[in-house]
Amino acid sequence: MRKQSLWPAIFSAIFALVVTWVFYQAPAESPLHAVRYLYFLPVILVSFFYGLAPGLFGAFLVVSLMLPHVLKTAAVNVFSEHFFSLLAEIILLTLSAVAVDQWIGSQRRQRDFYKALSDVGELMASQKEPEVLLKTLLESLVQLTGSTWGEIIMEENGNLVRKASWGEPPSRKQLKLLPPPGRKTLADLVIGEGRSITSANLELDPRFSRWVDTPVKLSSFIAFPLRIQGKPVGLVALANKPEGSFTPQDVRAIETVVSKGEMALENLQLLEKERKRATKLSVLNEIARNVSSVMDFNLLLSIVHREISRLMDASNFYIALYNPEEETIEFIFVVEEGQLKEGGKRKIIPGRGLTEHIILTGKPLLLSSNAEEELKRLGVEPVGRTARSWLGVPLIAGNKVIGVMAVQSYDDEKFYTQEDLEILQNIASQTAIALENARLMERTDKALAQRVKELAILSEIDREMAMASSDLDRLLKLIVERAVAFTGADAGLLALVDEREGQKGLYLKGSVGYPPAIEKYSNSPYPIERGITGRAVRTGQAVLCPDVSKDPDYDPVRESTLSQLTVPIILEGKVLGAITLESSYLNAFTSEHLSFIRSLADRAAIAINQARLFEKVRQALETKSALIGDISHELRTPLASIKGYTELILNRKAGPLSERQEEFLHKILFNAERMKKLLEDLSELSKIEAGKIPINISAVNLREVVDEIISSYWEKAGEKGLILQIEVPEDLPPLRADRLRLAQILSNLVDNACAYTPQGGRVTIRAVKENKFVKIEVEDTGIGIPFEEQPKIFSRFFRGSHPMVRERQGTGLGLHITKNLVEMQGGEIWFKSAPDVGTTFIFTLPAWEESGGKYG
Amino acid sequence: MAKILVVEDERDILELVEISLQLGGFEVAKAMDGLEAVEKALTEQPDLILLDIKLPKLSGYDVCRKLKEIPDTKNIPVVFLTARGQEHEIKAGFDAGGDGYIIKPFSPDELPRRVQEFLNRFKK
Repeated sequence: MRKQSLWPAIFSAIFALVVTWVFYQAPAESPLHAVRYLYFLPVILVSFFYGLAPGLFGAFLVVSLMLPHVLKTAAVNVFSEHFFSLLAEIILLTLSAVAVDQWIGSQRRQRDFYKALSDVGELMASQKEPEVLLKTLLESLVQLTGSTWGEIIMEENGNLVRKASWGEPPSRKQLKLLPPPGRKTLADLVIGEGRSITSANLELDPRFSRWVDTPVKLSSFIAFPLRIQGKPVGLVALANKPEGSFTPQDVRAIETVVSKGEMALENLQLLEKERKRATKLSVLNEIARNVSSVMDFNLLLSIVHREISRLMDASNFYIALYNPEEETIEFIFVVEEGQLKEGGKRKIIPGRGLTEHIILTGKPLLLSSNAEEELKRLGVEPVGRTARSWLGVPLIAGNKVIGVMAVQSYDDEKFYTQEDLEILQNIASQTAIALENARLMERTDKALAQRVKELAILSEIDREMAMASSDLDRLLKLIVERAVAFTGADAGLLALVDEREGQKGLYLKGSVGYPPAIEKYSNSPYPIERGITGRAVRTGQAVLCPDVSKDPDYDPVRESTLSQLTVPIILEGKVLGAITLESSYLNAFTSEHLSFIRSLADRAAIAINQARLFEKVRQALETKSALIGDISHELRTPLASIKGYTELILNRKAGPLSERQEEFLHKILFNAERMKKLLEDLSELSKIEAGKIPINISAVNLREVVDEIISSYWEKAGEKGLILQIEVPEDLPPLRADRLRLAQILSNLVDNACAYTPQGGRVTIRAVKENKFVKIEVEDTGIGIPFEEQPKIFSRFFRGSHPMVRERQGTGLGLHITKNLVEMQGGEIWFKSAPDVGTTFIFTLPAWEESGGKYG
Repeated sequence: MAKILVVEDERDILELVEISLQLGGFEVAKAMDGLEAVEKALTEQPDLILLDIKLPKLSGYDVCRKLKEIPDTKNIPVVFLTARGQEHEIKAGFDAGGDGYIIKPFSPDELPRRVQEFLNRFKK
């Protein structure tokens, strides 16, 4: 049923009845009998509207309506004219129904075909992916033509790639359709020349039979070029139509569908191009933005990789940096199969590796379908698995190749194009700037950090030099340790040229990281004729040896050493020794190391010089002290005679004396006594100055010491009518002091106090704890110190002008010695004094409990 | 009368000590170097020895050590004469086996008194 409406049927039925009635009413010979031909109209109407079967049924109905009348008239003669004319009418009616239906059918098919075409057009136009579009195209063609096999092959970068297939599973042989050598392939014919090819049976076709080697029988074959902007870029092939070969209608249909497909594909490519262009712009923009804003090196590289992935297959990607000094390349960012991998470093060998090739030529390289031939042509031996397609571009900053950025594809169907190369080059130039910036920054940072480290070490050594000028050995050891730590050496030593017991050579002063056997050079010399160190000492030239096996002088003191750095220690042109550093790696030391070790060597030289000068001064002081000691001892013996005999005479052991004689002898005795005191003080002072006074620190009870020394003053004080007062609290902590020296200090002060305090005066010894110290005061109510003399009283040989001072056997050394003794024990001394009022000497010494004996 | 052996290389001092001790009522034997000191100690058998430290031939310490080794002399008290300001000599003296010390210089009045003190102490 084509039309649902009943009107044509009703109309046809009434019309047929009217015709039948007219037919029956008319006499047999009447021309009205011709009206029966009007039966054609209802039959055609029914056929037209309701199809062949109702049409035929209608024809049958008409005939059955007419049959009784015909039979009645024909009864006379069966084979009458009437009967035959009716028969003819029946046949005519049937034929007209069939004809109408056929016509209708063809119209319908055509309409359906065009509808199908437009559907295919719409379907294809709606596709977003070229791959899907081509599949849709093939499916439409197969359905339209009723083929059972089909393929779409596209040319991509000189390769034929199957984009869609239908029917038998595809095989490689089929895909390639290999021609005999020297002959064109089917694809070449179709794509290259833009011809369509039709063959009733491809395998039997003498033109192509030898080209095809396929498990699928390809009869009734047709191949059409696919054109984009008029240029053939691929082909669509169909085959194996069950009904036999393709009709011209098929060909037209194929042409129409293919042209629609081409349009859709073209649009899609334009769109894709547009999209790619937009992506490219966004990628470049994104990279440019990040290059200037992202400081983190690795983050930046990740962003670059991510952006490149938006434009091309970057599941295998790397960035390598070139180090021209080391002649190495370092893979700083490596992605393999989409996974971030650990990079590596390798030495450049010309002719090996694509990365190296790019670094050496400075030119980009695109390896596509013909990768192997191209490699052969370039004379480059690849490293590792060869990619199907490889694209690498140099990273160029400041006209220098700083590295390479590359993508590679192992996929058979993904090839890089010239366009990809241009994009990658563009990105590479941005990345190179970023890398260079980062590198410069890192270098600056590193240099700065290195400098800070250097300065820290130097200042530590300077501090040590200022502090412990006497402990040279410790300083030299420290220098070696710091030199080793700073350079990352595996061993280091410092040796000085010396001559001991006639053996001249290098004596070890400090070492790190050597086998214990080296210690023998602390006491026996290492000959300066030997080794790189010996050479540096002989020539005064530093040696930076990157590979000791190449230095004929090298003396293997340490087994695994591969490189060495030796810097001579030079003072005023004279080589004092050397610092040697050794490493188990080749090339371990840099010129920065050298210059730093030089500054350490300079400090060592200064320290050695300082120590030597200090030693000289110390020896001079010691000599002086010994001399003064000797002199005072030698003078004391005759003095003892003078004193002794004078006393004998004064004691009337040599007979009676006149008053005047006695007076003079007293003067001799007084001055001999003074001289004796002077000698004693001089001897004491020279010892203090030479640092020869031993200080024996212990916990000292002040009260005990005060009691001891005061006992010898009771008598004297009593004679003079002085009051001696002691104010030392019971709970006073013990002092950190030398008992003997403390007694000496107290004696000196109490002695002075008693001497310069007139009759009836008072001398007070007082002590208080103050913080971590004990403050001890010796106060008198004596003559005081004139203000103008106060600044000088601790000076050597200073003696006051007061007659009471002059009367005494003073030497002018007492207070000077006292001050020295106090300071030697970590205390301080000062005084308060007013003439005719009195003087208070105050000194401090550390309290024992507070310092916990830490200084001992 | 107690006999004192005075060992002193300085002739004037030796005489001064001698006079002082004689005035104090002691008998005095004299020696001027280390070897003579040991010899005199053996022959004279003094009650006390006043021993200077700096001596020719044999130092005071060595003399003292020697005397303390010899059975005949080891019981004779040895008193060192040390100089003030040379306190380390006191310790060295005791280490060598000395029994006491007197700091030089001394007054002629004082010396006999100190010697008597020592004699009293060692008699006990």
